[in-house]
Amino acid sequence: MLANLAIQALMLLGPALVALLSWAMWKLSQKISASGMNDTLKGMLVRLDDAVLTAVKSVYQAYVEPLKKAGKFDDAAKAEAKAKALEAVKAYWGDAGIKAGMKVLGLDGDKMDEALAHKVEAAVGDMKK
Amino acid sequence: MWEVILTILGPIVGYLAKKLVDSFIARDQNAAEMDQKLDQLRVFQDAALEVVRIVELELTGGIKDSNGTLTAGQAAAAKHKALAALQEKYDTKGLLDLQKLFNCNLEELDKLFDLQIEAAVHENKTGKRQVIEKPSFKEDPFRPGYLKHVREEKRNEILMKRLLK
Repeated sequence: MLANLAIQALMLLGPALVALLSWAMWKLSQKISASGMNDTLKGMLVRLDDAVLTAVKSVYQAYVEPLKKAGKFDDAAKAEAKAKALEAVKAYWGDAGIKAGMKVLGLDGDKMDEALAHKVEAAVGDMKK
Repeated sequence: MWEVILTILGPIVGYLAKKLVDSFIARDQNAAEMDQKLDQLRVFQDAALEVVRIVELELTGGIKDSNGTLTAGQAAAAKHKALAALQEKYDTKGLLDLQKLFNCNLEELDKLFDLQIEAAVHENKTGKRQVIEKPSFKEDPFRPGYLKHVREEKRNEILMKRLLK
């Protein structure tokens, strides 16, 4: 009697258990995909920090320092230095890298430029410390 | 009864199991690729700093000791030597790997060598070494379920804050 009941219960619950297992696998798969996306985001941000810092140092060394020594580092030169740093960051990332960065970070062209400009300013500030 | 259930749900479970395994593999591959790229970047930066230090020891250090400063010609010669030394460290495969790393062609790569040498000269001069560190995230907009409750603008706002931090 009890054995029959257990078999009946198993037959009734079987599909539910299989469905539950399917749902659990689907959710776990989603979690793993999100974790992979997160790794990509981390990598992008690390690369971005690195590219900005390298670009700022490079522009300072090659462009800003000689102008400062000559006493010619005026506002126009500052703007030019910033533009050069931005160009260098983009060169460091490459077109494909910039596109991938925009996609991963969820920023469109203008916002990406704006974010890069802010990063450059922040890196200049860090360098002065 | 069981045969019917297994016939219907079996392929679905099999598909989901395959998707799960694929996700694991893709995540591991992605992480390994990221690590490899950061390692390549670190090696590239170390190599640039190394050649700059060697050039300073062998060439510019002596000139600076004797008369205190480099002429524009001497600085250009030193840079040229450092660039050549850095390029010598990479064979054809190494150059191709760098092109993949920076998503660029050979011509653009030359410009990046130039940039890296200038940055290394600055690091060498100031003694401030650039270290690549992985950031930690307390708030993760890519966490499963998070995106469902947060609008796209909110996600961008969080990312922008991180970028500007």
